[in-house]
Amino acid sequence: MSLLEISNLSKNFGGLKALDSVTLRVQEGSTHGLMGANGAGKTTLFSIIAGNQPPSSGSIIFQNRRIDGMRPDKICRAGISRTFQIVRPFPGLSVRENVETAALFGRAQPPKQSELGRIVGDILSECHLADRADQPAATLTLAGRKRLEVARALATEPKLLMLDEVMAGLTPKEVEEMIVTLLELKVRMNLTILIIEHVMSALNRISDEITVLHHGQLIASGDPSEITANKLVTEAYFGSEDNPKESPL
Amino acid sequence: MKTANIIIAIPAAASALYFLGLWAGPYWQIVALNLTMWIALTQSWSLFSGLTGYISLGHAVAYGLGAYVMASLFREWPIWLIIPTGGVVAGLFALIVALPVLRVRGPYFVILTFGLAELVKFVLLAVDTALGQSSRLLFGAPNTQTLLLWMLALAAAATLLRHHIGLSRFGRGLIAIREDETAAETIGVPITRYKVAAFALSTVIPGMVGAVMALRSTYFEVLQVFSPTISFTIVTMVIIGGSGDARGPVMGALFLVALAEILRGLSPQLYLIFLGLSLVLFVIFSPNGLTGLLERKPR
Repeated sequence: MSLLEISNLSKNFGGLKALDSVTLRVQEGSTHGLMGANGAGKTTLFSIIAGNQPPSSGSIIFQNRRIDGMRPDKICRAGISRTFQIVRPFPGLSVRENVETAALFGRAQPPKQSELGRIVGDILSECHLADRADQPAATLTLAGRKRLEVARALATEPKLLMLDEVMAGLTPKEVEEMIVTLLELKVRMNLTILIIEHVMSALNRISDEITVLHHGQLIASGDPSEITANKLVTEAYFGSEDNPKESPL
Repeated sequence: MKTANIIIAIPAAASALYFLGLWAGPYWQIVALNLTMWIALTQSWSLFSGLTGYISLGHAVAYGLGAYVMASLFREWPIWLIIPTGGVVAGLFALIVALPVLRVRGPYFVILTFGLAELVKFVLLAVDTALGQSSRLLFGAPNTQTLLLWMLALAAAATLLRHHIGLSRFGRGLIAIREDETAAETIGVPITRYKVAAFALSTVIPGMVGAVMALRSTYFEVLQVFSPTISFTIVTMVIIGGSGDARGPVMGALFLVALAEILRGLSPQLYLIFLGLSLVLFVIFSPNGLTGLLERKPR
């Protein structure tokens, strides 16, 4: 069953088509990878799903309810949570306060004061932030801030978690830790994940299905092995073997 | 400070000030009235600007509207009804202008609120002039002791409100807006509703303060009660006291009122010099004001 149905979604910035009639279904309980070169429209797609930007046309249905054009805070409470590629912690608040704020506002029902500590404590330890809970978010390393993005998104108790390059800029060891964390969380919290990632090995490992965007258009969709073998995809990334001069790189 | 402590501390401090005022005579009553007025104004301002980071230079409008309501209704309505009406009028006005004004952030918001305050001032001046009422005298106002009692109540209410909201879910949402508005919205904070509510709420007590202070000066003049100096002084007090919690506005108001009183006797010209100097020093060495200094020591 699909949790999220995106139909003919387009977004124009002036003359530029950032998204061109994208149709996409995300199956409940799956991990759906989203790849494409810089400027392909991946982050724009996230922003529109999360309500940070309105679409130019098309529709988005989440759990049989139309959400395109809804306010971001309402979409969040409906069960969709995103992280930001360029991290946006609340810098002056502690790591714990960052996560608490998300738990207080992002859920369909705000938690009781007595439960808040346990909820936040669980998420902090699962995201390996427990030992840094009381330091200001601004003092975390990049890997720490990416983890905080994930922790804050999880605190809103999402059904659909959208991760925007949470592994970019991390060392191979940190990438490995992040993958393990995500796989554990997915099972425990019963999540459906939509993930943008440039680290291909990571994406192949965790995705059930991968969709490829190129210049705002959907050019391929399938399981990881199909995508790796897909000629259009390799052409979009590395240029065509027949016409090496037309390589986009 | 724990909520329970603050609930005991504020009325205790308020009654101490009141009886001190009774005992020490009219001069100190006026000083106490001044002090409590600034505490009430600054706490209210901090409720919105301190928590959301939207620096308003327009809160003089709330004060002025309250004074205007008092001047217009004095002797027509009972005073106990006019004072809250001043608060309601200020709050309603803030509610009306909030949506357009809160669309801009940062320095644009500061300039817009300042411009709006000047606009309101000159429009009301024109209206009053057209009506042939360039200024009004308020005969038979209550004595300073009574006004001090009311002002103490307003200052205590503003302090409690600021303290309580700072710790509430509403306050947490406002702080998230200050830290990163886009992130706040994305994790579920209804940012527009919260900003509008806090902005309107932060003008209610200043409106009531303006109404009481119109009785204190016993005459009403638009240019005086809508003076931008009121807004500037509030911001100055918060810079010196700090806006992190309810202690900052109290300390900032104490510092400035004490400075003014001490230098008034010694050398009035020095007041502005000292004021400028302390602003510079605080901004450079303790951006979180006196509260910031207090918190640095235990570490």
